[in-house]
Amino acid sequence: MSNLTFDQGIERVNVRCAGIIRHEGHVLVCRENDDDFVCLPGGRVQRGESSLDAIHREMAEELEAEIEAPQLKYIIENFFWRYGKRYHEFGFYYEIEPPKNVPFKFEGVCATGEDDGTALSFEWVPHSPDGLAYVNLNPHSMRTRLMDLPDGFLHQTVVDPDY
Amino acid sequence: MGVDLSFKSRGERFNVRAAAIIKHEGYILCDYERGSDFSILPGGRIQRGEGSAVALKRELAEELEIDVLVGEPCIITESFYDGEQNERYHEIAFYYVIDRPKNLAFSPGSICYSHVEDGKNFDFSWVKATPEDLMRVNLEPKAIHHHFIDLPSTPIHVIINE
Repeated sequence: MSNLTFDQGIERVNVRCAGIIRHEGHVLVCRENDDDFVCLPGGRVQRGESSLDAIHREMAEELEAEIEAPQLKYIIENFFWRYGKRYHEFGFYYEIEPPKNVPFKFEGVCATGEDDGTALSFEWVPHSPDGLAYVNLNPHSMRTRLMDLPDGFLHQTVVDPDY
Repeated sequence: MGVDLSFKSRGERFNVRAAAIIKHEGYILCDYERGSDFSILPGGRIQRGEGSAVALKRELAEELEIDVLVGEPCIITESFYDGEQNERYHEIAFYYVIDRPKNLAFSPGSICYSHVEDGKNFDFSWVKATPEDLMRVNLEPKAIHHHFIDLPSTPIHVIINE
């Protein structure tokens, strides 16, 4: 299957899903290769696949984790620049119970994985504005959102100032 | 002129839409393209770089010549269905509740507005918001008729597999 990513010149339309996994005051984040920022674990939604199926698949692929009943927390229409591309992204963010097979440790890499040749490393970081800023969680707006998870789900449109 | 978020490859189409739930006195405004066998809610495809709320405001101005306030979506769907020309659709749609503007005639049971776009004729009618009437006009997607009839009190996300 192919990803829901459509490029035209520098313009990219993208559909993404990500997991919000919290445990004992920490949040699980993912670093690609040796990037100087981290993201929530997840990946691109594929053609013919719902965001819900995608989050199950991504957690299985990246963390070898079987997850139960992910709860949708945010749908974000996100407009930003990254890697020289102008992104129009639809992001589906699900809260997920910590998978049993992902070890919990306060410091350092707790799990590693691989996605299409990209090395992934996972870390638990303190679930606080400082902790999320320290690891440079992207997108920045997710730092506030993580601190204030809604009971149901919220829809937001976020346009970066330089978009 | 913007580029619609609609991408086709190998018989599959990915599409992003914004649509309006405009209700008045127990009726809902439906959009019917002459010659087709179904109705949809007013609205259209989102364009590159355009948020769904902005897209809906633009579409309603183009289709119905109305200027509306667009708040937050009430239903967001991910749908998978067989569409026209044997295309398999994967669609994300944002449904917003919109107040009926005063310049949009309320004329239940008859066509209240017609619009021509790209040589196609679209007729807008007020249809009684009952299960029978929405089925009679073949309003798509059928899976969420009950939400169009009784609007959800908080936003909902629905995955529709047809």
